[in-house]
Amino acid sequence: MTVTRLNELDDKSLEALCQKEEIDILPGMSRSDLIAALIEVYEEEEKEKQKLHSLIIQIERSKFGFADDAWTQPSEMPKDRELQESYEDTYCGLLLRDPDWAFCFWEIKSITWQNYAKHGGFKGFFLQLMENQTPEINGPMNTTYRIMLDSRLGSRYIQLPKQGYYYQVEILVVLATERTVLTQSSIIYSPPVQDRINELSRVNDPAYLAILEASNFFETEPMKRLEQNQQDIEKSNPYRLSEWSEE
Amino acid sequence: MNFKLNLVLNAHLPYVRSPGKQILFEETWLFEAIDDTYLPLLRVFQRLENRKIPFKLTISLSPTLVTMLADKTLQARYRDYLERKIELGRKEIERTRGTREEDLARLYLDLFSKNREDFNDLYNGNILKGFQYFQKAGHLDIITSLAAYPFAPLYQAYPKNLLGQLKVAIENHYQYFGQEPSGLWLAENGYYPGLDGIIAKTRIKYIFLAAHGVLLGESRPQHGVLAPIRTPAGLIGFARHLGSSNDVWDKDYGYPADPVYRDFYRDIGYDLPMDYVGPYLYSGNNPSMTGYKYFRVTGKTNIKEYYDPQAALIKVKEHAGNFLYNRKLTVENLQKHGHHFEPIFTIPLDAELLGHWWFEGVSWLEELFIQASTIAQLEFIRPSDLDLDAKYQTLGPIYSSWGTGGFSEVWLDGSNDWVYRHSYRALDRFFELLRRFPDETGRRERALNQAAREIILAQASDWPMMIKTGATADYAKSRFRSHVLNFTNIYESLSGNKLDTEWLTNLEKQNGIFPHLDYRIFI
Repeated sequence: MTVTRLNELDDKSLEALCQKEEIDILPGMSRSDLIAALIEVYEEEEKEKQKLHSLIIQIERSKFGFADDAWTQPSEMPKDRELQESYEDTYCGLLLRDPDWAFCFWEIKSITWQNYAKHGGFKGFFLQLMENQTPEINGPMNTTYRIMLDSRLGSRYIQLPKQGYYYQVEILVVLATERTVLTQSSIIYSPPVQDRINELSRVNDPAYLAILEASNFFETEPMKRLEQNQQDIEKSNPYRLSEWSEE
Repeated sequence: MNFKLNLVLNAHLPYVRSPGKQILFEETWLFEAIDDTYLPLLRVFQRLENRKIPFKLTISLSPTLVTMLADKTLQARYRDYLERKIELGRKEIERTRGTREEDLARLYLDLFSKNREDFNDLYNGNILKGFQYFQKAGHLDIITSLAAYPFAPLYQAYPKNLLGQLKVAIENHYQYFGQEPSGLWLAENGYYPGLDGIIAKTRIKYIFLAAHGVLLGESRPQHGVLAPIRTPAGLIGFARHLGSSNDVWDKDYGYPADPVYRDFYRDIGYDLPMDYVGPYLYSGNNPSMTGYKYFRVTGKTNIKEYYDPQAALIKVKEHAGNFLYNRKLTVENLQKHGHHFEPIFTIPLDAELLGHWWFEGVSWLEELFIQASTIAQLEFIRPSDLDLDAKYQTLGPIYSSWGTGGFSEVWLDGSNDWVYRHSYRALDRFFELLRRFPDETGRRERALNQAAREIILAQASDWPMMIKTGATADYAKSRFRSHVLNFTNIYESLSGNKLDTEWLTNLEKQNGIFPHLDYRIFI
């Protein structure tokens, strides 16, 4: 889909395309914002396709044949059942995707959601990202940012502010000035890859440089990532989050 | 300066056995791997042993693969599959008589006939005996991986689950090989800080890691990836040597991309009419692979030239020589810079790369050992040949994998991230069941054991990987869904005390992997 083709579409069609691509349409987004967001997603998809042409993936694919309709439905699978959309429980999970991004999912029990929402001082439900330099579970963790939740059940990718930190997500409700934590994820650690790369890139001892060269350090995946344009990385994020300000 | 090559072949397939009477398409993944890789590899080992060529390497046989290779039903189905392949070969010789394709059809017919002979007469259907023989003879380290091959970094929130999967794998390995494995293959080299502590609770001594996992580790690795490290919990870690891997794996410059090698994709299953090949396929009305492939890579073109096995064999010798030469160059360069330690090049490869994808790959491996035997300063090793209790640099590896991007991008992205909500909820519920029913007997015990099987199978890293790459994505989604739903059904049945025995019995037949599994292993 080219910019020209997108420009020819009316606003409703653009919004439909954004929904199809799971782009969050934020209030105040203009037509050109929507087109820009779509182009970013299409570019990212193209890059993903190119990545999948690597031999390692081709070999994995080759193990599993190509006849997509040829497999058999497992016979003992409970009939007429789909995976539960909701588990009617309150929980959240946080998974590290790479040193800069994590995936978070959550659910707030519907009765909990409704009861709090009815409360007079209700300010909202929030997803709060906590960080710490040490892994102590009960130690003090600092809040990085909060995102207001508009749905009791959802998932999103969140950018981790710093590498080399421990992170945890909390789902909380704010009533007047009081915050109540409803559930917490387990703690993940984002490795300080950038610092380590910087440190090794500054090596000027020829003997250790020979070790790095013999180890193909400059061909490792994190080094390949570095070659990507920083602006490009930011552009490829379809879930850019805004900071939440304290009331 | 002497150096060592630490070659590791990783063999794995997801559990695809069905209790029905028919061969299923997904079962042909296993049969193709037996045909193209496992039996040809065993023949290479046998020839090397006969010629007294020294060879040593490590092979990881995943618990799902081991269970399937030992399964009598699948063995019988493989025999049927092979008979039909041989029948097709005979038809092909008639069809191609007098043409250039005839010799190529004979090449495959000979290969499959030899496979039949070895499978039936030499191994009596159980090729694990072959691997076990070479282990006992001191050529192989056979190691394992977590039960259903989960990508461990994405399940770090459930350490008891990972330890349980490891214990299941070790028990399974002991059952089939009569000894515990000394090493562990982590699916996709997936590691996170703390995983070593879980593994160290068993008698596993060594693991394999992504190169950057060690190079960007908590302290600077003195010898880069060319020496083992000791993890904080005391395991020995061998980091992948990318230069060696890239000689083979690089999609543009790797050896398998050479124009003289056989092309993987061109297959008569796609080229010939369905009324001719259809009876030999297991893919319904869809074309699929038969194993009869007559063309060479040729180049980046759809117009392929005929495969010439002799020309390919010449190239195999050249590429084996080149591989050893490249390592020697690296060693010489280290020496020039004043290094005098003995480098160890750790070279992990997917076993199915050799023979299945890269048809000549098994011959390349054979030639590698033959040529290496003439080089005095080079030695192939297994990790168990080293003193694993010796002092190695202690270093904490970082969160890493050998997948694209180097972390979890392949197993966690917009296409497959939805699976984790369900597998995490199922795990929460599973551990809730363990608290409620810590020591059951009878029907309830059977249900809990099956719940453990379903939980294990749901976590296979194959499903998110297949969804991500689009290779039989619908199958992967269905398998994931079925395991979670089966588990959920057991969870709800146990909670409501309304277990359907007939359904449970059928499910035990359908997903009967690890028949001796005791759910208490996860407590």
